[in-house]
Amino acid sequence: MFKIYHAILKELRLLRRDLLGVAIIFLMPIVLIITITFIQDSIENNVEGTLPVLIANGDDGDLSKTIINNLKDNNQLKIITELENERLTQEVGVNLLKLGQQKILIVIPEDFSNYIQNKTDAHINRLLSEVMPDIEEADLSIFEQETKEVFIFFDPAVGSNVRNALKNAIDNMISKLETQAIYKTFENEFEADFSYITEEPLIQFQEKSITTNHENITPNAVQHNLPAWTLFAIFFIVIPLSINIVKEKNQGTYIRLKTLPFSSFEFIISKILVYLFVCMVQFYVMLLVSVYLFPIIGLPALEIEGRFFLLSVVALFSGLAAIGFGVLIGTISKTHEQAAPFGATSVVILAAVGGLWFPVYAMPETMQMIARISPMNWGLEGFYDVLLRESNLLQLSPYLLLLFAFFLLNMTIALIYEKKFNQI
Amino acid sequence: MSKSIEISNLIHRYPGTDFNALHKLNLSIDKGEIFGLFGPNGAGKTTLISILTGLLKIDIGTVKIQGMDLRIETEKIKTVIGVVPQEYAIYPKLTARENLQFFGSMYGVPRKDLNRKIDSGIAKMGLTKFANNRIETFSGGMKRRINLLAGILHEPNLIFLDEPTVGVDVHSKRFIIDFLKKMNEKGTTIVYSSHILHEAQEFCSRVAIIDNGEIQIEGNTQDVLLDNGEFRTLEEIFIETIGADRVHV
Repeated sequence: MFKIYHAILKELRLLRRDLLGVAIIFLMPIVLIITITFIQDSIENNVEGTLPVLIANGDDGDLSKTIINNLKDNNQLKIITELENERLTQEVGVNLLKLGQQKILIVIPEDFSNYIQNKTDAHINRLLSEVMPDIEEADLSIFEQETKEVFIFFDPAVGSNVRNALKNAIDNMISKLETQAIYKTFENEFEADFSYITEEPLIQFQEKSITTNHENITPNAVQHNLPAWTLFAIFFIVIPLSINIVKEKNQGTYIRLKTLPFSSFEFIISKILVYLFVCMVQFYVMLLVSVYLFPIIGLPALEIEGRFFLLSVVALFSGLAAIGFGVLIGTISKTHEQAAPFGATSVVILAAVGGLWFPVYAMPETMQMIARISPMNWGLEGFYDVLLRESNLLQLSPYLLLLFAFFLLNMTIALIYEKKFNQI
Repeated sequence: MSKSIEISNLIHRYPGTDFNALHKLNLSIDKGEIFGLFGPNGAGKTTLISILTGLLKIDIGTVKIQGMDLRIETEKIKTVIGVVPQEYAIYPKLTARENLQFFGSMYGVPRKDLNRKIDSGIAKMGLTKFANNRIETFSGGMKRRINLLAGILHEPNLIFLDEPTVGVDVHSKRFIIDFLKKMNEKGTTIVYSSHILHEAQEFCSRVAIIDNGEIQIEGNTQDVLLDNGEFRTLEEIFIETIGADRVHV
């Protein structure tokens, strides 16, 4: 034990002397979690006017006014219909997009309201004249006119998620307006009031989150971000750990260590304990930030009441998985130049595959299968189980066992490699 | 005199090569000797020292250290030997004291004796006022002295030294050689490998020249140097044995 104590002391002293490295280990995840949570929280809470949308409106009717007003009701959009007190035209809008000064342009064609109303009337009249012979035959000339369409222009830099979200919002709104126009025509035909039909949607839905104790908890940005970025930070231990091992191998100390009456097992245990300690400190620092600092800076606090122990268990096993991976990279790498970029890149790939940045359920089927064998995904699901699904230790155990198995697998490969290929 | 090291028919071949790095090597070193092992690069001396210090496994042959079979009692042997590699085998970011605390404890120096031995060793090396300075701030000679201390803090019976004075100033060299002589006077066996042959000539009680994995010359230093009634230098004998065209000392 005296030997392990001194080996641990040595590792801690070496870490303490590398202040920049330690700062990166602790500060990077804190900066990440604060920044990402700020951004995500702003989006979720609809901070006003984040995305400017130009509208070149060539129509003076009610329909275009309704479209513009509906878009203005969306707090995430900042609707611009005039520039320098001049009504925006398609030509000006397209130029602004070409110059990269604006991102989105919606063009409503001239006389669009009348065109849509006339088309709706024609449809209804044709329908009614077919079923009710006493109604005069519909005027179908509208169908021979050139179709009037609403165009949406996007700057190529606008991502597909924003494009899809906007197109869906407009689609949704147009469906609603079409329905209203149809009922309006019926009202005119029958001189009746059908407004009660559209006042309340026929199909209603309500969002609920399912947890094991059946309470309805709506997860906030912190509950989503903390697990992802904590795991990212924990796995970043791979870089200093692998560099530490490579440095030791390339120094004369490695030769002396091999001649010491100190087993490789004791040697590696001391490293594991020190770096696991670092992982746990990292985790608790992030918890402290999420619980106590976030409310001070206007972000929602993380709720960990009754979950502290299980969160710590998931962090501990995730830390072990990361350390196993770091030991393997450090053992296989010959130089610092191999270990550092390989460690960083592999962590980023593991994070992407594991669903830290993009939800696994939204990935293609093949990627979902790959994600299921990713240690970061096991850790992430473990954290979500505790924070969002209120699982107990037994329910968590599959993820914990997988993380531990990953740790053992990496350590075994590293040990075999060390014995076979890293002889003096 | 009892033997510190006994090597019989030692053969070692590195994987992927078609020659023996050590070929049927026989050698014995008595307790209390300062034994000098010399040879050109690739002669087999590093391989031999690596086997004796447990860094390489024995392929064929037997090696006994302090009467213990190296193949069987490797871990026990590691507690009675000290190794001082040519490289600075110390952590540059740690202080001299921290390095010695680590290596001393790894060698099994009892907790109660550790700090006393560190203080005493540092004082003998003339580095007391630098004990709490980081190694990265030390000169080459100071590093060599701490490098030596780190390998002998547990007071081993047998020390392996690989180029212990290479690249150091006269002052540091004197400290190191005097320190080693005092250890030897107390009964410690020293196996010493160096390219500084005039230093070895003064320091070693017995020498061996190794080449092609075999011992070419072996004997008491004075006997080896005395050739047909005339004293020659170790360097002259080395060149003659190895061949002038192959010497890279």
